Amino acid sequence: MSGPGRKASLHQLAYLLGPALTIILLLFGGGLLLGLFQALDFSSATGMKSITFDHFRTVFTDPDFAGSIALTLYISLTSTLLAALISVVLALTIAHWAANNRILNFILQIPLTVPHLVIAISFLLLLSPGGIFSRFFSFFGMITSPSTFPLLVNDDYGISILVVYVWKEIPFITFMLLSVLKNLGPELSEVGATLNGSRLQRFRYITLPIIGPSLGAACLIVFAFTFGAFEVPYLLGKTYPVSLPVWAYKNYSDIDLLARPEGIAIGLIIAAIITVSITLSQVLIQFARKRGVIL
Amino acid sequence: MSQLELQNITIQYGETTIISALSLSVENGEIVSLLGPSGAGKTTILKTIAGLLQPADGQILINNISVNHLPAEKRDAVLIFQKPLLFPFLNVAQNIGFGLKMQKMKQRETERKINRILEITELKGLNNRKIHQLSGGQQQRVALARGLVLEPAILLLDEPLSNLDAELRQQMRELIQTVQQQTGTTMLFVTHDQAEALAISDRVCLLLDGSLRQTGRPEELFYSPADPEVARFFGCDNIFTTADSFRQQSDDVQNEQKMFTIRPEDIEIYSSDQQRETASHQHLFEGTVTGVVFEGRLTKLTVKVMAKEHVTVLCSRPAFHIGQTVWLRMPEDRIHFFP
Amino acid sequence: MRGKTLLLCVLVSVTLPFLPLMLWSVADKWYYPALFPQAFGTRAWFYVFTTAGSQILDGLFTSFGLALTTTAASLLLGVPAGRALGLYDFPGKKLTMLFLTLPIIVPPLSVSMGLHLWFIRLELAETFFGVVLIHLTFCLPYTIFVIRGVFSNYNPDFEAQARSLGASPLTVIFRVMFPVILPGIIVAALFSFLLSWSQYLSTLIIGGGKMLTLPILLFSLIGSGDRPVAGAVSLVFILPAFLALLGSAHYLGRTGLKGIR
Repeated sequence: MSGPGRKASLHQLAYLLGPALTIILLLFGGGLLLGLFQALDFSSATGMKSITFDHFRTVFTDPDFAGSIALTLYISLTSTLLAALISVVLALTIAHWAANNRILNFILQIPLTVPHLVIAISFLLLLSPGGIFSRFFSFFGMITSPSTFPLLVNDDYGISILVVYVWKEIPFITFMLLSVLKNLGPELSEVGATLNGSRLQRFRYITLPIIGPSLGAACLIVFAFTFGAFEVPYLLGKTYPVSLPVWAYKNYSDIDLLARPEGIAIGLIIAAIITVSITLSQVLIQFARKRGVIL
Repeated sequence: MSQLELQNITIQYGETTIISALSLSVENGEIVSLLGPSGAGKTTILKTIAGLLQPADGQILINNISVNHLPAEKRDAVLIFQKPLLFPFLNVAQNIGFGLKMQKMKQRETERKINRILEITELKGLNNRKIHQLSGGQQQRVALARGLVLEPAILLLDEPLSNLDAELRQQMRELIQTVQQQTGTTMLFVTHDQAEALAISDRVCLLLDGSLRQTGRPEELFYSPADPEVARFFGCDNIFTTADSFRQQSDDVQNEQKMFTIRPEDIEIYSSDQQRETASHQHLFEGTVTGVVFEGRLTKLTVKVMAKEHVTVLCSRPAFHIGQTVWLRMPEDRIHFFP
Repeated sequence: MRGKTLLLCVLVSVTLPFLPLMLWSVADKWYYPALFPQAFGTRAWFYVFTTAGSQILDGLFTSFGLALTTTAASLLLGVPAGRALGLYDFPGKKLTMLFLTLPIIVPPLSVSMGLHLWFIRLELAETFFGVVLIHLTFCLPYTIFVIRGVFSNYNPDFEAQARSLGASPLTVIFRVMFPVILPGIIVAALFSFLLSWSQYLSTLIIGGGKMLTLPILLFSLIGSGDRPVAGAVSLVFILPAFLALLGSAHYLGRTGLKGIR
């Protein structure tokens, strides 16, 4: 909880916040704004007249655009949901059975420190047709050659991408939930039990509303990350259609410099989709709360 | 008919036994308080009755039916915790209606019950308040209402007043008594505060060192303690044996050694001037004041009698100083011999 | 018992991905469908640590330099900002917080592509400093986020007490505030370090071909298909972060790395 309304002078605040605000304003705000200028072909020399929506139009009318958005949404939504589901179960289990197990805590922290790139590589080595899983099934005679092993990498369903994201994000969400559950302790659930709430009712009407905000925040962050991440779908995804970030970078790094503004435009579209969906979900949650719907 | 009966309950935490072979019963419509110092295992007993902990041994009967095998949510007992523990994401009415919702009670019936209980607990009009908008006393009343509304066979209260300041505590205590009279709810009330226990309950069970020492009406425990420890718990340090210095005083009672006690406020104390005017000379003991502590309503005096016994005396507005010679009288009918 | 089963499940799921990396890094000959390498060797590790592969060592130094500089800058800017947001009430606080933490949800890709042209003009592109700046854009918000959390549970009365006992403002910062928020500082530093350490695309865009960090080298190794070397470099890549986690486990205690990505 924030402090009991401590006041600071404007001078003091400027001194504390100024440097950080400047950096974020210049680099983050500036980056997005300059990107927009480039995507709109705006230049200070020619002024407003030079503005054109051609690059955005090219992107929106591209026949691959819909497929690319669908794929990106599919990957980020599925991995977020799967990770959230497993995390809730895991966090509740840990809170119940091993809340203060330091070894378990340590092991669960390991994935947080491993870059996505490395995990993508290791799952490539595990799940590809010539990977360790394929060898394992072949060793026991269940498949005859790499080509009979089900396609899990560069496949239609992005299986390996989902696996990497789920593996990587579960600990993140779990720790977010655990910090709430540990502070909470078992007391509120005990109250629920003595007020005749069954195990399921206690989960639905007490635990879920309590972890709801943290779970929601964690899911939004995971969604935003997986929607805008490049490495994993680049390494493990199909060549067609590609996810939005991969498409953006392909355009940006194209030998044809005319494709560059289109790449920037896609990058901005990604940022816009993330911002809009997060804002929308917040509004929906607020609305639901006002209507008295719990969670 | 007893609403709650504990038969030889033993509770262990790991290897340590917290409560051993405890038996008690609470009759329909009674307020019974379970009194004991902090850390005596009172909360543990309530949690065990509520079904949040399992006893190592013994039977728990609610409405004369064994509930040992039942989980907490199936037991007709509601526990009110020390902290209000209101659900922060629900408003007042939703908090109170929580248990009814768990029972899937109809909306109209739920509302009717909530409104009735809001009235009884003096919370009328606060239906839609958010929890953080309530004062500490209001929160505790909501917690009480949340349990009462379920009309349990027994309401278990775990020091519900201990987080409130003195004045609120008094109000809340009176509220609980009024509510009890209005609803007839049977209550088991846990507290470490003897004044609270004596004031609120029909019967008091004193828990010391993991077992029940004495059960009875408040006056019984206070004036006729079962053993010296019970007497000391109620603030009476005057424990003597007839073999000691006071032999001559109790010669006529019995010859064998017996322990007895007398409450400090029951001892009469006289200065030498007053002593001459007192009629019953044979019961006066001469002593020297060794301590005077002004405690407000009463002043606590320590008097050394016969060069070895320290007697504690409580009296109002005394005019004694340390080193002064005084005379003590212990009225016969106020002396309590331990059984 | 149930705790043990849980521990075992988590242990297996967490360690499984490290298995192929370790095996491949010491494999000399490993043809399909052999379950284990037919011949073991140290070629990959030699490549990583000898002059022939000094590129990898250089990459390690570059990555370290970038991550440490970024972390230091993040803390320098983030601790005061986190203090302001965690400790004081002022109008526009929520908006400030939202703005300062917005880069957490907007992908580096969108920002880097926009900044690139500007950085080229300012001659920041393809420089160490330029890459630090782009990393800082994403590390600073996380630092602020963590430090704000620390300060919202911080009692500044300690500082007033120290002042009244005769400590100078500077002494108060280093002898009172710093020790109290140290666990938070460590978490924030780990955050920043890891985030900068694993940046790929932003480094590639701003650094051009000049800043050869470990992730960039690793990417090209995967392209070349040399699995043993890719395995070895991957292990080198995760080792520092793992050691940092091990070293800070004591400080993190029960709070752990909550919120890190």
